[in-house]
Amino acid sequence: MSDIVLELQDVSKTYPSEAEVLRILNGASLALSRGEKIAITGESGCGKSTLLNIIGGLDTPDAGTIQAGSFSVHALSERDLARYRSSYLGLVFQFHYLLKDFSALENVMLPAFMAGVSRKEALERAKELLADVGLEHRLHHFPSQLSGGERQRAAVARALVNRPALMLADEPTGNLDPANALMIQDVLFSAADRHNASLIIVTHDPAMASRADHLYRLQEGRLVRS
Amino acid sequence: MRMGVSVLFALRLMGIGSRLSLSNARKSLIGAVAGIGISLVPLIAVLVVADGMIEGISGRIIELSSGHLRVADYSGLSDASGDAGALESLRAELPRYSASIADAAAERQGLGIAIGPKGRSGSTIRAVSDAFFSRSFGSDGFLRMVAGTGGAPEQGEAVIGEKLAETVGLAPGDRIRLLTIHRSPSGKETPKFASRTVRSVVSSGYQELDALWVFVPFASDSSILDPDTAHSFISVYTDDPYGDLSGVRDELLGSLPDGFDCYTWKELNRSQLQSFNTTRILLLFIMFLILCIASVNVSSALVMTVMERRKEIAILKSIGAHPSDIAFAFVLAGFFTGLGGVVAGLPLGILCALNINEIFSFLEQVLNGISGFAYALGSSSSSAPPAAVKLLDPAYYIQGIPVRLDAAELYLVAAGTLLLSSLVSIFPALRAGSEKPLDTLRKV
Repeated sequence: MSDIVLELQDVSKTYPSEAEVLRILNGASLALSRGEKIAITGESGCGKSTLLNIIGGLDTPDAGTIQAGSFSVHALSERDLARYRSSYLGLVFQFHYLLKDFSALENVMLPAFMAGVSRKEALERAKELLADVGLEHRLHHFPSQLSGGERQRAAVARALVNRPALMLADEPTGNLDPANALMIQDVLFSAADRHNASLIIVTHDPAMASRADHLYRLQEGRLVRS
Repeated sequence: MRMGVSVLFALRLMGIGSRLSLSNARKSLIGAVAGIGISLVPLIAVLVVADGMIEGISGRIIELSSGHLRVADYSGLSDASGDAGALESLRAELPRYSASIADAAAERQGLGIAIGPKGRSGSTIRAVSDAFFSRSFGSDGFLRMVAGTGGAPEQGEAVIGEKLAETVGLAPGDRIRLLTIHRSPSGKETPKFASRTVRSVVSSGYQELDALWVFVPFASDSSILDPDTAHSFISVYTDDPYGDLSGVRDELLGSLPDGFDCYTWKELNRSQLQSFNTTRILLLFIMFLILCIASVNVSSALVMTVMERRKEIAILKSIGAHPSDIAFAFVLAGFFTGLGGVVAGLPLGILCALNINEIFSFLEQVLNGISGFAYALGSSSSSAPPAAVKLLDPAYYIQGIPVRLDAAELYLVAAGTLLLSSLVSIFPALRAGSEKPLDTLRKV
């Protein structure tokens, strides 16, 4: 079995605008090993989130290939994309994106259900993860009853529930105060270590970037290792 | 467990199990539940009342008019057809031909004119065996004595329908004159008068029948009717008139004298039954259209829900939900909306149907009250007061509307409603399933 969790080759993406065609990604390539943690930085609007969306199968590249384990992400059907997102990937966004009508516990359990995990097993995993992020006393609270930091911690727990091989975090601490930001960093990195998951963090926070194994900078549509 | 996600999401779309918040889409879904429920009320009421009325009228027709089966010689090949004594002998024989036969009554029936102090009226003169009366006045019978002495008419007596008695002004003890037509061997037709004492006034509960019937005893008075202008037959009664009567008919056909034939009540009343069923189907179709319109509300409420829930749909997709999971959740939401409507509308419809007589009576009182009030306010002394409003004229319907609850039909209505609610959800469901998560997440 290959130790490469993710391999990007010459990924390009353009967005047409009124004045010109914006070339956001221009032959971006990357190879990520199991358990490896990298941070990607770059100026605002340089394409960091677009790159993460393409890796997450939320967006499609104009050219290039993305191989994640057995998934050829650039060419997956809707059905396989759903399977890829539920079984291989854990996504954390800048905004928590919890479902408002579901409790914290249910929000964390949902991806497990989608991956075909039994209810009992999903419940155990969700409770354990919520305890790991310090929310064991908030299991049945709805997102509107949680603070901003608590919501983001619940979102991290949700991303981890299917024990993904690859975690993508798009400025996960962007909306948080320093104390909560630090807690989220700890949770993300320790969870990645515990599950031997690879982690890609897009961040503007130098402190967070410094905790990664490697730092990449997105420059003129390409990933440059710092 | 993927189905569990759809079920859970569908329930939350309906606001079940989540914190109470009434968004516009959720209000629309609640409105759609109410729409389905309200449209089911007249559907159930019409179904139950129509079934009851058809069964009530059919019951009266087969018990009081056609019999469960009729044995007759319409070809004229048999001597017994015009001979009252021979027909009575055959009647006595019939129970031996089939074990399913409970009773039989010979009858000669023809047209005539009934004349009383208030006037005259065309009538159906029926010379019937005593067996007819013992059945019809029994606990399960359909004849109710309004006035006079119970039991079958004796020689020189007649039993008449309530409406006929009212029309020609007759009461028990009065003399009724009957005018019939007799044809001589040369073919000349002459009127023949007969006078009888009214023994009793009866009602079948169906005024159309009560306005026509004059009963006289078969044994002594069948001669009032000319065998050439009247028709003679034997009404056969079984234990299960609504069951399959073809077996009894076949047994009878194998044993009857030449010329006699046997008909089931369904054959004899085919056109009337078809008319009832056509009316019933038309009414149900109109009610079904109302239900369809209510179902369109489900669809539009779900479209609104899709628009309102785009963010949640995007989140679910981003964490691994398949488009079919999302679509299925919306079909389920439509199903639950229909279920809510069924749970609310079915009992309410049954309640209305069970109390339909009281509801009509109440509505008549209200309408008459309004009409009377309007008359009192605006009338001149010379104008006549308005006629009383009758929503269902008893001249054409059974006096009390019978109600018949058929569990199978109610199940069918419930299942049809749920199916319809699910079907109309397919379009919004497909739309939800095809939502692009990134488009939405970028806008949040």
